[in-house]
Amino acid sequence: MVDQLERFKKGLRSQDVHTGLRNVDPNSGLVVQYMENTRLIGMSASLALTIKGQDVIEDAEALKVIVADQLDIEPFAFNDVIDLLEGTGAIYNVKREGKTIKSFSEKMPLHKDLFEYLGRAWEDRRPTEIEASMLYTVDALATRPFRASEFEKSFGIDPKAQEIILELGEQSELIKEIGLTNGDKIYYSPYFSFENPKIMGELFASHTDDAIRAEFEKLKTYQGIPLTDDLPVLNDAVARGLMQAPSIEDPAGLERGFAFAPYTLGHEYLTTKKAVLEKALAVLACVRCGQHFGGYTAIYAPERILETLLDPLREHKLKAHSSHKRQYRLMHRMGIVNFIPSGSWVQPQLIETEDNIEAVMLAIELLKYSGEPLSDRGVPPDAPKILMNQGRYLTPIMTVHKKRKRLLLTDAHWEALVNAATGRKRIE
Amino acid sequence: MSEKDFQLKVSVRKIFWYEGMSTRLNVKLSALVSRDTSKTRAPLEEYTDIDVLGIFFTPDFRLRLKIGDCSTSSRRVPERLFWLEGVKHFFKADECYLVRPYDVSSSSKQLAARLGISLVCGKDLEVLMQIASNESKLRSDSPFLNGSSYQEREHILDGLEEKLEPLQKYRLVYYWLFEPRRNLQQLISFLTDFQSHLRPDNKPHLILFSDYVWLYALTVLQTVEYVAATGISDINRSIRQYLFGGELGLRERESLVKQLEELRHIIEGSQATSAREIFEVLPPYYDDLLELVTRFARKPRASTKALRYAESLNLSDAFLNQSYDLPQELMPIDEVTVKLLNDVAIFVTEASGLNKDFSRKYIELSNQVFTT
Repeated sequence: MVDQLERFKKGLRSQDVHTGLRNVDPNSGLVVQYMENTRLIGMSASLALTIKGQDVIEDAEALKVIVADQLDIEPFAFNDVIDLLEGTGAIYNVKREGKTIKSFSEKMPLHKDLFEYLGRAWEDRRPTEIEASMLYTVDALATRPFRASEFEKSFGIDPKAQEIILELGEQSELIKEIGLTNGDKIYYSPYFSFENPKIMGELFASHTDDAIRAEFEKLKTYQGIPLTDDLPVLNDAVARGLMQAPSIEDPAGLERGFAFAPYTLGHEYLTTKKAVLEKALAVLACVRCGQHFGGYTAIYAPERILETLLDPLREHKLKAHSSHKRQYRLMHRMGIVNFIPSGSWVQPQLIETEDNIEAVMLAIELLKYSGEPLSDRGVPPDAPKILMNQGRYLTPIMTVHKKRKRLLLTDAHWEALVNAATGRKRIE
Repeated sequence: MSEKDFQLKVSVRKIFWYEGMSTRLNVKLSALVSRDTSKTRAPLEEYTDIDVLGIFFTPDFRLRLKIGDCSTSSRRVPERLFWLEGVKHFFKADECYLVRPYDVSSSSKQLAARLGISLVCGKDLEVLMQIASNESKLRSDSPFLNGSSYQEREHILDGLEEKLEPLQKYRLVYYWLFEPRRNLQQLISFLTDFQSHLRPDNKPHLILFSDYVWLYALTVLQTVEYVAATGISDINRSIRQYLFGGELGLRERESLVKQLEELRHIIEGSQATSAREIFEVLPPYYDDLLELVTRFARKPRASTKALRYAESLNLSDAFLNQSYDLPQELMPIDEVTVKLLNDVAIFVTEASGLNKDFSRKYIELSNQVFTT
C-alpha cells in the first residue's frame, strides 16, 4: 500500500497532513499517538521551503518565533526539525549554545526535489501503520474523490485504522465527505479547486467507480486534457459545473474544452486569488490548444512558450504566427496579453502586471507538477522557479550483431573513454 | 627571485588588496607541447609568469584583471613595457602596473602612457603604499600583507610528498593554462585521482585543499560571468553549454557519448549492462554544481567577495602560524559570503570523493576566523 508511494510523495503528503493538522489541537491524543513522525516531516517541509535560498539564517531564535506564528511549527519541535534537516544535509553549520540554536546555513536543493529527501527521512523514522495509511489516503485524494467502500476494498486499510484516519481527517479538515442518498459516502480533498463539490454525488451516481478513477488519473497527470468524446466522466463533470474547462477555438472553428483540476495547498487560489488561478487555466488552455490542434506547426514544448512570455530579454513577446490571434484570444480577452501587429499576423506580448506574471508562473508549475503548484508551499517569492529535470540518455534499440569471439571491455574501460570524451580525464 | 623583488610584489599586492581585489603571486603562463617519442621532453613549456595578479568581480559578475610586473632591475624598461602589453593581451587583463623602485627615463614614461600601462616608479610606490596603509588602517607589518604568511604557505606546499606533485603542478601551472570552463571538471579530476593520498589530518594537505577551494571559487565565479552574459533565466542550459564550450560543443559531446554507447552494444550485445550510469555527458556531480552556481548567481554582492574571504582565510593562523586581524573597514564580515565559500568547500570535497573531514575542518576554521 503506502510502500507503493514514491519517496517524493511521502514527503509531499506529509506536508499536506501537517497543513491539515494545523486545524487540530497539537496535544490531541490522536495526533500525539499516531501522527508524530508525519507531523515532524511536514513541519520540516514547511520550514525548509520557507528558508530555501536564504543561505544563512543568522538569527534562528527569531525564525523560531516567526515559523511558530506563520507555519504552526511549535517551538518545542523546532530543535527536532532542525536536527532532522541537518541529518538530511539540507542545513549545516548549525551553531548552538546549549540547547539553543543560534544560526545555521541552508543548502536546500534549488533544482531538485526537497520532498525526495524528506520522504527518505519519513521512511527512516519508522512511521506507524496509521501514518502510512493516512499518507496513502491523502495521496489518493490528491488524484480524485473516492467512495467509502474503496477504503477497504482497494486500499486494504482495516476498519479500525479507517476510523482513526477519518476522525483525524474530519478534525483537520483534510478529508471532506458527501453523503449519497443510498447511504454511501464520497470523500474528497478540500485542496482541489472543485467549483461545486456538492454535486459530486451526481457524478458517482451516473458513472462507474472504475471510469471515474481512470479519467481522474488521466487528468491528474495531464492538466488541460482536451475534452474528447472518450472521456465521458470529465465531460459530465464539466457539464455539471464540478470543474473548470476553458474552451478555445481550433483551426477548424470548433470550440475545444480543456479540463483542469488543480490541487493547491494555498487556499488563496480558491478565494482571494481565484482570478489568478483562472488566468493560469486560461493560459494553459491556450498552449494546450496549440499543442493538440496546431497542425504541422503544433507546440512541442508548452513550458518554453510560457517561459518566453516571462523573459524580459525577449520583451515578454512570442514570435508572430498566423494562428496566434485565434489561439491566444482568450488570454487577450482576459487582459493577459496584448497583440502586437506584425504584418497580418500578431505577436502576443505579456501585459506585465503582478497577477499576469503570477498566473503564467502558476501555469508553468501546473504543467510541470501534474496540477500541484509547489510555490504555494512556503517558498519565498524570490526563490528561482527553475527546477531542473535532468534528461538521461535513452538507450537506443539496436540490432544485435552476430555473436563472435570478442574482447569485452569492463565498465571501468568504458567510463575512462567517456571521461576522456567529455573532458573529465586529467590533462597533463 | 630576489628578496627585494619579493618585497616589491608584496607592496603591489597590498595596493591591489586595498583596491578590493583578491590576489595571487607568481602566476605561470605556459603552453602544452607535444611529447617526443622518448618521453624525455616536458609536456609543457613556460612562457613567463605574472608577478602579481589582482582579481575582481563587479556586482554584475564582470571579471576585472590587473597585473603587476615588479623588478629591481634597472635595465630595459621600454622592452619590458612592450612585453607587458603582450602579457596583458594574452591574459585578457584590464590593467597593468610596471613597478620599479627607481625613477625611469622620460621616454619610458611616454611609452607607458601610450600603451596605457601604469608606471609606478621611484617614490610613487611609497606614496601609494602610504595611502593604502592609512586608508585601510592596515599595519604595514601585518603578516597577511607583509608576505610572510604567503611565504610560509608556499614553503609548506613545496614540501608536499613527491606523489602529490601533479596537484602542485595543477594549482601553479595547469589551472592558469586551461580555459576557465575546463577547470570546472579538471580541478575535480585532479583531486579525485589523488583522493586516497589526501588526509584531512595532514596540515599540508589541508592547506593544499584550501588553495583548491580558492581556485574553484574563481572558476565558479567565471561560470556565473558566462551565465549572466548568456542566459541567467535558463541557468541549467547555460552551464551545460559553458562546460563544453558552447551549444555546438555540447551537441558534439552528446553525439560522441551516444556513439560510444552504441559501440558497446555492438561489441557486447545484450551483455552490455552496467550497474552504473557510464554514458553520461554531464559529470556525476552536475546537479550539485548547478546548485552551487545558482547560489552564487543569486547573491552577487556576497558571492563576488568570496575570493577575498578565501584568500584571507587561507593565509590566516587557522592554517598557518601567522596571526593577524584584518580591519573591519577593509573586509566587513558578510555571513552569506562565508557560507557560499563553505558551500564551495563542501562541493569540492564531495565531488572529488575526498574524506568529508576536509570540508568539516574548513568550515570549523572559517567559523573561527570569520566571527562577527
